[in-house]
Amino acid sequence: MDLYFITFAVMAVGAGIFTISAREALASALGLLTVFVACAALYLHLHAPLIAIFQISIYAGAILVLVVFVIMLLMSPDDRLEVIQENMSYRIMGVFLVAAMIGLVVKALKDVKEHGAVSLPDGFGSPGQIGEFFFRDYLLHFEVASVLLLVALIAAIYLGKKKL
Amino acid sequence: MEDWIIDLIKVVFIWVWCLLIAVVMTWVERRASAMMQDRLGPNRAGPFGLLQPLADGIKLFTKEEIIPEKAKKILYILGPALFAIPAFSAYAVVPFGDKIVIGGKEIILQVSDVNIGFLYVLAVGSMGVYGMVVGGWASNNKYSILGGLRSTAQLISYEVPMGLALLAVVLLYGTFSMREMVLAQQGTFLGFLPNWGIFKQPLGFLMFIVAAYAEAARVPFDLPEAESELVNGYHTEYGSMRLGLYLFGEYVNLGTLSGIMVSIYFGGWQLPYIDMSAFLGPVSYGIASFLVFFLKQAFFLFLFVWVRWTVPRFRYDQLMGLGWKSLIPLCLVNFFITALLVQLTV
Amino acid sequence: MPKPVVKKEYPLSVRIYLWEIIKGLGITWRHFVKNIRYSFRKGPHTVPTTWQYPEDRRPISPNFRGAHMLQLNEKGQELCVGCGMCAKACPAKCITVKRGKPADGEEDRYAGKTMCEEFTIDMLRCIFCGFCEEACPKNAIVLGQGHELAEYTMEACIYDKAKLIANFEEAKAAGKLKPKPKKVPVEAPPKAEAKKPAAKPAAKAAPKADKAKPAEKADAKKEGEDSKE
Repeated sequence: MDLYFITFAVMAVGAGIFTISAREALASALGLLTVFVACAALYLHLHAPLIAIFQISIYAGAILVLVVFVIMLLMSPDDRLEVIQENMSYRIMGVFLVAAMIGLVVKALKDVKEHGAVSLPDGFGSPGQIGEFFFRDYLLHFEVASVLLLVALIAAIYLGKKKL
Repeated sequence: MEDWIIDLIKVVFIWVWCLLIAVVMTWVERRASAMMQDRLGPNRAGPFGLLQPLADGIKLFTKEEIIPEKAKKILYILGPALFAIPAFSAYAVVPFGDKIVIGGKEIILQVSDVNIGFLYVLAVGSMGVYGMVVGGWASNNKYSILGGLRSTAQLISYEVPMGLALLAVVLLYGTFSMREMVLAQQGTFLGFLPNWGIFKQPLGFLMFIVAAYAEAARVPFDLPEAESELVNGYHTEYGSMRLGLYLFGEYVNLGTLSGIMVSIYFGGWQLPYIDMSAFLGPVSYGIASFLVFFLKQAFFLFLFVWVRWTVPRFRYDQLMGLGWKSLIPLCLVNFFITALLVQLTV
Repeated sequence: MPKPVVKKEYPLSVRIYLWEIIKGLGITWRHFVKNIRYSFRKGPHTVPTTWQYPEDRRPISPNFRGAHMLQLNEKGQELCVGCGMCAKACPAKCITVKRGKPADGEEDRYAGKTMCEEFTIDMLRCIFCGFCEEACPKNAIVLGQGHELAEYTMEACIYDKAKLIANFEEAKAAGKLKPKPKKVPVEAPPKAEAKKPAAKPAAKAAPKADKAKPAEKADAKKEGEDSKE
């Protein structure tokens, strides 16, 4: 357990708690931003700079900006989140999400215990290797993901254009 | 000297340099705009009005710091910092010179030559929007919120063509490191042109420069500020040095974008046709390469000003239309042509 | 009914927009270079399109209504008799006049038999209408060309008699006195009345206009040379 890891891990968890407890929409979004940045720092620590950059440029730079855009479009700075949080169905969904998440974490921890420490192969986390992963080992997953994105794109166009 | 001391010196140097550029740019912007509009501009403080930025700085520092009553206090204070930090940190991977030998030690004139430097620029560049958004939201003013709202949509839209234009460059050079990209631009292209990215990627450069203007929220894409519509957009409610930080951050951003343009499309620190390292000593070569880089950068900084006083602002739907309907398809075309050419020549 | 939106069809060359931007950049560049060259010119009026105020001042019309002055005649006697007509005429009520008799032995300081003991003008209230000038039977109060009237205190903006006479001395030294108005005969037919005042100030103003002209001509010449280059 080194200081770097502890700093950013605490930062990520703290910001995560702040995200779900903040009463103001944009503050909550900024909490999420902090989570992303802290996670990126942890990825850097895990010798995965490319993933760290993607984390920032895609999650923090694009997806969260979209979230912020929606917040600014639909809410005013004086709106509070309590009103939305009173909705019961969100809470029930949240319970399921948490259960699934805990299951995943437990499984991951078990795997870590079984394998122990593993030394990294050469060039781990470099852009070239990630490209090889994408286009050789996990090509099917990659293509499925791109088809999924295509479907989302077509759906967006369908929703955007009222009459086709 | 130990490595970390050298790194520290480099960081401090580039930080001061950024600030200097920003300071001088405020003067250049006002004087040059005046000259283009048949005026004289600020010419009272010092010779040619060169001390005007200093006077402005003193004014901004000594002004009362006002936080509007209905503003969200913490976010309001956070906004300018969120805007300025990414602007400064993007400079870390821009190579501002080749290398300099001091005391038998070779020093690369770049804060950090990381192998994903290029993506780092994109990632950090996309973070600047939070400053605008937070500032606009925290001011709790309808103009500010509109400015912030516009900035989010605009920056997301133009991130895509910018990334696509740069990806074509990555295909061309086969590396993510900014320094290696500059080194790949040595020599000549087709026998008579300098081997610069602009000649291999003319369309890509055009797309990139348009996207860069939109990313920096400069005229003709200054929708988030839009003086004539939104008072001053996201920083309407700001005053004193908080406003100063926003204005400074903008100019530092311009400096970074100019640096990237020079490094990727204009051969970085290299002079065309002439190999400076052949006849210059190790120290003077380092300084000369830095000066060459700076001159190129200065041209693009001036171009920002020049365009600002030439082109009128786009309407919002035109801005979105240009981004999604023109730039992205053109960038894709450019990308595939580049891929084809790279595949054919390799 | 809302105004219909007319959608114009532009050819591709215009829709690309880039060429137009480059042309525009050319125009701004031409202005930039021209003005840079002008700004290295010697002398005050450098950039021809704007007057750089503290250095170059535009010639002011002799009929300008600026800061007031109390005139003296050729012998150096005060013209004001303290009648208070100006104070009556003033729509802003900024003039205070107190009539008095000159003290013994000082009669030759004043042109009339009476004088003003006190004469103050509150410049903060004055609207520079010139009614006081028109009302004055002795042509004693006149609005001059002084227009840089900013002061640091409110008290300094209330002009007393000494200040008003000092204004006159200054204008006299600079040769910027207002030409004397031509007396209009009361019984004269309206035709002559309309003609004469119009003709006279113009003739009087001519010498001054001449003075201002050579400077302008020199400037025009310089501009001509510059544009030739």
